[in-house]
Amino acid sequence: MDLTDAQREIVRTEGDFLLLACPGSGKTRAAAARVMRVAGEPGTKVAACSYTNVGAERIASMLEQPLQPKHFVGTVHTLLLRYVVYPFAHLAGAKRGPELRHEEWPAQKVYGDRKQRVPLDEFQYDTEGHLVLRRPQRAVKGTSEEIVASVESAVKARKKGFFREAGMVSLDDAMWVALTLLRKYPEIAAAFARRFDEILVDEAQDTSELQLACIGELRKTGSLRSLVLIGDLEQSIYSFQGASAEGCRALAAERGLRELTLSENHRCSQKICDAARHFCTRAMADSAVGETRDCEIDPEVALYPHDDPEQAMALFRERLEAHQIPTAHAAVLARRRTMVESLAGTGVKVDVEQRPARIARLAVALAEGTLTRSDMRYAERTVARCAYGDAIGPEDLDDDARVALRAAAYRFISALPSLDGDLRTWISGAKEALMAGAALVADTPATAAGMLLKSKATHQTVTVAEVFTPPPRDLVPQTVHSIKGEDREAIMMVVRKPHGSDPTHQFELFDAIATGTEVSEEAEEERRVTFVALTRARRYCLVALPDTKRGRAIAEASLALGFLRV
Amino acid sequence: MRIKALQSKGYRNLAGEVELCSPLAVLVGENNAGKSNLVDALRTVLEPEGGPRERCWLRLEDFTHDGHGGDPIEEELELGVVLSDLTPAEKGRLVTCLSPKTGADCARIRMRARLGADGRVLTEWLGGDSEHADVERHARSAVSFVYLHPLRDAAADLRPGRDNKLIGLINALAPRGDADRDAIVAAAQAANDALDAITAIMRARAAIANRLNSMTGRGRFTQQSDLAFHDPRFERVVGSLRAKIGELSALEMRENGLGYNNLLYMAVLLAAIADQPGDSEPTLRVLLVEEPEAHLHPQLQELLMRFLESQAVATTQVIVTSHSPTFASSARVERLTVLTKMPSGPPQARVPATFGLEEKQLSYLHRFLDVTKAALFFARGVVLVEGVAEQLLIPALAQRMGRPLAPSGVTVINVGGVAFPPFTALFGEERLTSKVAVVSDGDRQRDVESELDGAPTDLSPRAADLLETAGANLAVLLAERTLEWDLAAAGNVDVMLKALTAVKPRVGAALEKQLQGASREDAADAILDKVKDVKGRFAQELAAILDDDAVSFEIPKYLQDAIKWVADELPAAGLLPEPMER
Repeated sequence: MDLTDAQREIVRTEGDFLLLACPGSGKTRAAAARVMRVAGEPGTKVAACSYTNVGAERIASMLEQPLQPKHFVGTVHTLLLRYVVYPFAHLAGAKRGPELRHEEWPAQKVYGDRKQRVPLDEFQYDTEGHLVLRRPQRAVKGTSEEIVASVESAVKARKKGFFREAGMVSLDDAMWVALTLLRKYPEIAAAFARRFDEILVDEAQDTSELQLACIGELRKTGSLRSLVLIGDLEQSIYSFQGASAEGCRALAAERGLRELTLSENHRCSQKICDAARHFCTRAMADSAVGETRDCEIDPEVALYPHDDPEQAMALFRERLEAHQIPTAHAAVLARRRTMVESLAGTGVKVDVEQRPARIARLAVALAEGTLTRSDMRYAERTVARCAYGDAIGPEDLDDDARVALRAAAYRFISALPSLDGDLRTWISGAKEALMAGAALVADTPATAAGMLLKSKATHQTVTVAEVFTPPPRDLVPQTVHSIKGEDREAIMMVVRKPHGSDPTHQFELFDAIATGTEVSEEAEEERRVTFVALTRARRYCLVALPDTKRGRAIAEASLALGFLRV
Repeated sequence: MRIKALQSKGYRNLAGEVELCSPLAVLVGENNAGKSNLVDALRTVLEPEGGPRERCWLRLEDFTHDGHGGDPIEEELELGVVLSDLTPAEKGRLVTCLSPKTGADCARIRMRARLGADGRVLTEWLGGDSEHADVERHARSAVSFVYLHPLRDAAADLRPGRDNKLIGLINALAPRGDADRDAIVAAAQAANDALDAITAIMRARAAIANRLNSMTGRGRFTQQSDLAFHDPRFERVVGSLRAKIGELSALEMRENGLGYNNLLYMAVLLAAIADQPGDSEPTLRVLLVEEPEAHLHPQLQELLMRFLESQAVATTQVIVTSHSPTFASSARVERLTVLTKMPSGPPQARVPATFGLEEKQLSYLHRFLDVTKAALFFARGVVLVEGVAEQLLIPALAQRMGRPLAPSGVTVINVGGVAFPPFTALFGEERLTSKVAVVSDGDRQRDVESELDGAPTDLSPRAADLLETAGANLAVLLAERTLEWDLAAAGNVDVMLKALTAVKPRVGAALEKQLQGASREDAADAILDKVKDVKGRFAQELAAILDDDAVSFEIPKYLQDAIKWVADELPAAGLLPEPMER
């Protein structure tokens, strides 16, 4: 593996450090080389973590050879679960489990109003044990702070109840459990820190503040030989899950981590680096050193009819052709899933409830042979819901009953009707399949299948296939978060017109940057998301703006940022 | 780190916690008390040093059942190995198994198994006090074991091949990258080269090749043949090494006796677990030996025990089961775990090290627990006596009472004097639970005044102290004065005189005449005076007379009480074969 001098320093250096790396700097590659180096020393153990599974898999895939089982490669979440939450949850009061519950948490009524409800797992703990709501709650009036203030004690009590009685805990709250345990039991923290000589956290900027606080507790024990945080604070785009770039820096400062930098971009052209510079807080543009550094294609801005985003796709194809970049090497990026869907222009629009839609997608996956474990779990949960009602979930069953439930779920999905009929008929066939599955585990199902899989008259006019298996396409729109850590020859970032129910701060951001005014706090996250989006491109990036008055003004102003208007 | 205890629930006949000593634990107890079950439990939970084939896999029969071969009573079992005295590094390795409930430096590795609907055994590993089954393998392998089964065949187990126990040892001594590995390969290569230069070998090779070629033809079936000493490859060469042993020079194991072969076997295994690469993770290596005394004569048993004691290093723990009083008596008392079979329910485990005995008492026991006395660890009932007279007579008297001692698992132990306290300290409700009768002399002195007063005479101060030691399972039974006196005073003057006459013919005859019409007490005084210098021979003669059922004999009450205390009445005497007394 060819490493630059700067990267080699990352591999070699001893002691704690925070590596600040620019996009395309090869930080994960350097991290993987470092892990191999440290793991190769006799008697040492390394935990190499990342925030997402994708990130962890990327580290693993870059290792020269698989590590011995005494090392750890995985998410920070798994690390803390395995070494703190699973072995010691009982010390935090759980009578059973612990059991991680991913979805379908009951909701909390706010202001005593049945219509204003927030699922319990939307409330997260901060490092002081206060609740916060990180995602906007459109169905509920008032700011997040107001919502929390009105229900904090009730939500905490319910969460504690679930945890105490059933060991049930949300993914985020599990990290709070880990933090409280590490704080309360220094001997556990010390033993955990002793388990590894080095803990390396890639994508540290995305790591949640609870996870960072846990890592801080481990560092505090003094039993860790080295702590390495690697990330790009400019690429922190998970604030809605409690990530904080500042927290990362604060931990580094508090624990006296040295700061190292990688500022050579091996991915993008210099022109892209220059344009992207405006979307980060660094004073200097990253220097392009990769194969494409001298690529002459300018970043571009274009306008699309604001009520027909699909036209942006056509425009992008045109530009790609002009620059002779195959569509296979390009990506279309949008901020949110709603925009992704309108860009994809799913031909047929039908209003299908969440559960029948999910089951239909599951049937598609089954037909294509891409059924995943999470699909199977969903099927089990649905059968359990039908058979036992709300009160009992798969996690409440003993092993034998669980095996039986698995069999029932198989019966259910294998009896699903074929995908060629109309949707209404299909859903009614699915109901029968569900009843048949549930009958295997309960004599009288507690919930009628019809309550779980509802269909409407309008479903009669469409087929399952047209709704759920759109024809394959060469250019698939996706969210910025889903492309993190990857790159493409070209990207298009589609900016959406602000919308009452879905305010984005993208416009404000472009405004502020074009006019050189200060970026508001809300727009900071947008800035980092845009930075991530632009720096995915090796050679060409296009920003598509809605053709509105404001959009046109921004397009005009962005010429000064190094974009060409097309 | 050491194994402090095994916890079990629903596994064979075990239940509760059995403590184990470190670095050497000696498990003693009668047959079927659960010694092997305990070892098997450890083999089930811990990681075998020699790979999964040496693991003890759970089977249907391991679930506690009613003892009549019926269905299991329990459909779930749990085994837990309690580890204590963990160093910080060991706590790091075992972080997922830490058990703050047990103690600050303790961990538990647990295995839970259930019987599935289809009769298959479903197992999961748990760590510490958690109910969540996610123990990393790295933690579980922090304790590994090597097992020597009781019916071992040392020669077969050490034979060359892929499973050769020597491979591990030499691998540890010459790890990858070590120059010795190349040297070993070179040595084999050199041997092959040297063989190649020998005419007879060359001719043999050619002779074989010619015939082979004639069979297969020169077409597509043609094969290459060769003669070689050994493949010059490290694993092959090391795998073909064989341990040899002999008095004058080392011979093939087949040419040797079982005893020494066993010693060689143990030496190989101990060397293999002791010599591990220096940088490896903190690991406790456990050597499990069932009946190390097998095939060894007593003196070798004692030497072996001393050696195992000397293997007391922090990273190794030796756990042995034994039926051998020689072995048990060579071990220090504080190494023992005594398993006692209970009339119903699981066996009880008692560990003398936890009895709170003083160092002085422990040392005394170590010195005085010889082979015959160590039998008390294997017995269901014990009669502790002062001297040889009681030792000889009590079994004979018990037989007369229809309560023979051997079928009840009772052994009579002569402590050779009156130093009972170190022995009695071993028994109690929370200590060894077998029933004990201490039979000793009351030494009440007859004096004229007290007899006139009609007041009871005092026990000797020693006897009075001894009475104090009586407890739930320990009875102290005192003779009025002393054994022979009490036997005579019970109304057996005639029989006693007959025995005395057999030892001292003239004295006996004279005394017989002299005692005509004397009171029982006076006769007893006189007989005691005459036998006190020949108690052993006298007891022999008396026991011989008592073998004859036609002779009637009054058994003094204190001896009756002692025998009733420890031995059961046989339901149908006579239907059973003649019991053999120790």
